[in-house]
Amino acid sequence: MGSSLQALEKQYMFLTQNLSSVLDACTTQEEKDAVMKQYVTARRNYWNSIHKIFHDDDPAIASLVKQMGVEQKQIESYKNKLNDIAKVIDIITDAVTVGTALAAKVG
Amino acid sequence: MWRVRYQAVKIVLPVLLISAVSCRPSEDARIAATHMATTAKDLDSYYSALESVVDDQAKLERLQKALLGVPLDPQDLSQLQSIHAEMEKRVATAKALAKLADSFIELTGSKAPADVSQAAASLGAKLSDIQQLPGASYAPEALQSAGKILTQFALQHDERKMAESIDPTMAALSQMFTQEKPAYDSMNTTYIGLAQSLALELVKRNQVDPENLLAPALKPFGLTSHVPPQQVTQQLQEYAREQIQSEGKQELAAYAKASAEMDDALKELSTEIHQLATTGHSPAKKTALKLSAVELWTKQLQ
Repeated sequence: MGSSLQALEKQYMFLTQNLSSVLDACTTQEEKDAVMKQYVTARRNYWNSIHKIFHDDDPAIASLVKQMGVEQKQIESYKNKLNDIAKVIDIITDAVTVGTALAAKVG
Repeated sequence: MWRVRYQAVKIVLPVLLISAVSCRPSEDARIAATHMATTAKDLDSYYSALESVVDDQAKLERLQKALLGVPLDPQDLSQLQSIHAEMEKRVATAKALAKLADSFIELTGSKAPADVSQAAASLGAKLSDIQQLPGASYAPEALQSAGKILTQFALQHDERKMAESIDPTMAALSQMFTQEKPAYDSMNTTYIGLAQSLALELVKRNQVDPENLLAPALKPFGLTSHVPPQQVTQQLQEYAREQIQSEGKQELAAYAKASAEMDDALKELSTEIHQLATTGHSPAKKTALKLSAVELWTKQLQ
């Protein structure tokens, strides 16, 4: 599988599987809105990428894919630390931002 | 890129369709045509099932909006519609290939030139249908006079030339599938992943009727369960969660097998046609390919 598509799929699926618990951990509507916004962006990044064949040999994309891996690990490490929801939202936002950069590069 | 590859196939396919008819082919050519028909029908089933997956993905996203409040605006639905349109084009291509293969089998069974001519004319008519299929963005000029050309070709006896014409098309179709396979696989994975997440959410909210879980114990005695939502125990909920995970895994495994088998079948057919074109003989087995994994997966989705 193209590593770009794989990275975006992994991010979208991880957020999908944990969306409910992350939303439950939010204490304000603003926090929920922030989570929803990042989730929808991750989903759009994924579906946009499905349309395209990725140029995995592009060094810029390879670098972003690597960065996606780091961000993904960060999110996963915070899966069980939902009491610090503000931090979790920050990490999700960073990760999805890298995903958006990756999705913009492909095609 | 999907579009580019799809266009490439659509360009090559008419060439195949126009020149694929040479009368009285050998047993090898007849077997190759039979394999082409089987593979094309399974390819049609495979793409049609993926088309359903995209439809269901849209339904799941609507459900996710209803359950969790995830925004879903026209842009999101348009994304899925666009993917659906791409799948539709591939279904149309697979159907066109199946029609061609059927017509070619018809030709290989013909004895009299009149029969061959009639079958060629019939194929020409089928080619006209392809032009009308959804997703066919253009119609090569050659396609429009296909029936006439086909009739002329049907009166010739150059089997190898026929295979040479089929060769690039089958190679292009097989290559398209292989290159796009990661996207197909990913679409099925995310579909199951989203469905699982929503099913688990419904279990968490105690909104799942456990009747089917209890049925194996009650059915032999003609009984059905009646469990009010407030009486669904933690253990039953856990059982439901396990079922969601295990059934999801089974679907993913069935899909992976089907997808790999479809890829292999297209490669095998492409090799078969190529050998027929280059040596005049096909390495084909005498029996038609049986794509049971594709059938099993598509049935599982129904």
